[in-house]
Amino acid sequence: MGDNSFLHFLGGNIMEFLSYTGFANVEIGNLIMILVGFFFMWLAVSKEFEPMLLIPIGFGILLGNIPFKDAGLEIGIYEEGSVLNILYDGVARGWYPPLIFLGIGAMTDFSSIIANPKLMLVGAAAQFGIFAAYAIALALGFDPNQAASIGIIGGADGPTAILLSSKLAPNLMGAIAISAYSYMALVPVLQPPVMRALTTHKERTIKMKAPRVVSQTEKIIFPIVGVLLTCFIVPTGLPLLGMLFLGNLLKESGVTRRLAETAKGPMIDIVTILLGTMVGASTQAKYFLTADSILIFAIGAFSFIIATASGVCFVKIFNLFLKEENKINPLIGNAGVSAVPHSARISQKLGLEYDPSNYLLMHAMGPNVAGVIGSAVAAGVLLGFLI
Amino acid sequence: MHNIKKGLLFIIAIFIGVAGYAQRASSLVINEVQTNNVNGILNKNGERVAWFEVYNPTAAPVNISGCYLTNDSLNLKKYRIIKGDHLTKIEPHQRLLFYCNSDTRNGVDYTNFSLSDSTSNYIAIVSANGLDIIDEVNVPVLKGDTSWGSIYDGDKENRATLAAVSPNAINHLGPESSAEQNFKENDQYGVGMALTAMSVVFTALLCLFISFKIIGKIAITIGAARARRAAGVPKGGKVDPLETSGEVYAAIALALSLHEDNDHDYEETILTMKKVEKRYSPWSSKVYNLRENPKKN
Repeated sequence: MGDNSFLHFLGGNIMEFLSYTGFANVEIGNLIMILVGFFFMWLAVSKEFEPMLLIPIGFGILLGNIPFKDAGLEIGIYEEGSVLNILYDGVARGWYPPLIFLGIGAMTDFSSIIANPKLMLVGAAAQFGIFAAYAIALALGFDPNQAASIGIIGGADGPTAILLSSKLAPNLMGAIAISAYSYMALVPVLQPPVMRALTTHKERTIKMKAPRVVSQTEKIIFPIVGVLLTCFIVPTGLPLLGMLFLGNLLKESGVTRRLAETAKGPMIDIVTILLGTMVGASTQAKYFLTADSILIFAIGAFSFIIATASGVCFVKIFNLFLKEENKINPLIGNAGVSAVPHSARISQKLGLEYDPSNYLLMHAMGPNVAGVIGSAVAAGVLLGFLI
Repeated sequence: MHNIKKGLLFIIAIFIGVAGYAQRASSLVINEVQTNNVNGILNKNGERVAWFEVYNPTAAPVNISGCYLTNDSLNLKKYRIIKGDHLTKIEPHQRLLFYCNSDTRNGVDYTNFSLSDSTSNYIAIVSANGLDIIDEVNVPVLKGDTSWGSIYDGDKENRATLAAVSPNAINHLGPESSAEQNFKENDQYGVGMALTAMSVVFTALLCLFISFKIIGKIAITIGAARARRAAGVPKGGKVDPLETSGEVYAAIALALSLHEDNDHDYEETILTMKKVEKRYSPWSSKVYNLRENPKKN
């Protein structure tokens, strides 16, 4: 009798344990998402597509989709008090993206737009992709807040997309972040056909005047004037723009080398790991595998294409008003999206394809960094209007 | 040097003081008031009394201790909120309810004044100096079980009788914010958003463009003047100090060309296992590193 009850107790315990395992709680959605995670990691390792982002995101997808019994164990990312939930706070409350921007500021050399400030306008023009995607998302039935979060994918700026969606449409944030980072990795595939289609051979071979040398004083003034001007116009852009320009001042001031090194080195690495992993982990199957996610991916691709096209077309129109020696090669128009430096590299590559002596990289970096500012301003505008 | 340090400390102290004041109470809002509580919320004693809600619209916690509450515009220091109670700290975007039954024995959230259900009521939050009014309202006579306050939490401009009584909860219970609703109703195709937002983006970057056009010109002028001085060229003479030499361009072009062609050495990173021959050395010999066993005599 005693043995029987012990065996019963033992069996019960084993059954109880089994009910807690992932195998007992797995759903088809979890398996699909785990495959998506594998795909991201494969892209990162084999194809070297944005490995620093896709590895943490891919692995995060695995973490977020390991099934478990919903018994208040405080292990899931959406369970208050769990370790993952605490780390997720930086995404949910939007304080990881400004820290990333601090690092980006410390890495970025704004010399190209200081030397040729008119390239800032190219960065502004490319933001049209955001608002075109906003209109499409509205037409497809999304609410304004959701449409704005989807539209920002066209800014090609992962941290900005995460910040905006965490504030306006937290339920779509996973899909938006994955979409934004995926398309940033796919810039070499998406942009060149649009650039070729919208330019003539003559335009592609325009040689731009070498940028002038920028003094250190100008480089120091830039972040100070930049933050004052942009944040006075769009105070809601303060978290991103403030950190971006602070990082740049740390770099350019010349007296805070250690701080700049930390911001662009260990700090941005730590935040990138946490941000990527938590964004991946937030894509739990029941939230991610929806028709909305598919629509978001489709609109995201469209917004990238529109952003590229509007940057290139703006340069073509701008050239009508410029003297012959000041003309801009429209192949740098694509760099107005803020995928730094990927889109500038595309300009360089295409420029060399049509004229092996035409190096556009330095020129393309102008609209590229202006795009970073432009997308942060656009995010600030959307937040200001909709929150 | 000492004076500079003192000055800096003074400025920092002022900033901290100003920031502290800003976070202390100046943003608080009287968010909702119920003067005629018939079937509504009960206080700690199980009584239904008039109450009002104070809302912290900021993103930082605000401590309301030391401030005053009043229902008399001629006596702004009527009820002082004592210090040292955890209730006085209002978390970001959260609320604190004050019960008004002229009985402060139940805690800091019980005022020493009551609100009338038959006449209009004046309520104000006054800063710790007893002079500056942080927020004040004139609440009209309310029907039983209705409340009056900000239609959207923290909105001082739009106050009215609320659709639902919501002590310690969001005032507007709809799923959309007023701003979103506004865009949904008036900008169905997103054209308005695109036009206004693109204008703002262009304005911001246009301002930067104009600023740096001017700053650039000044920098070039100053640079040219310095170069003239260094080269001993008289005023009006031309020296172009910012011209980059052809050699520099050639070096950059070469580097880019090498980069594009991937023409750099590549290290084979293959790990292999190879047996390493151990040669005798007295430095690694155990014999020299161990003590000899003690000898028995």
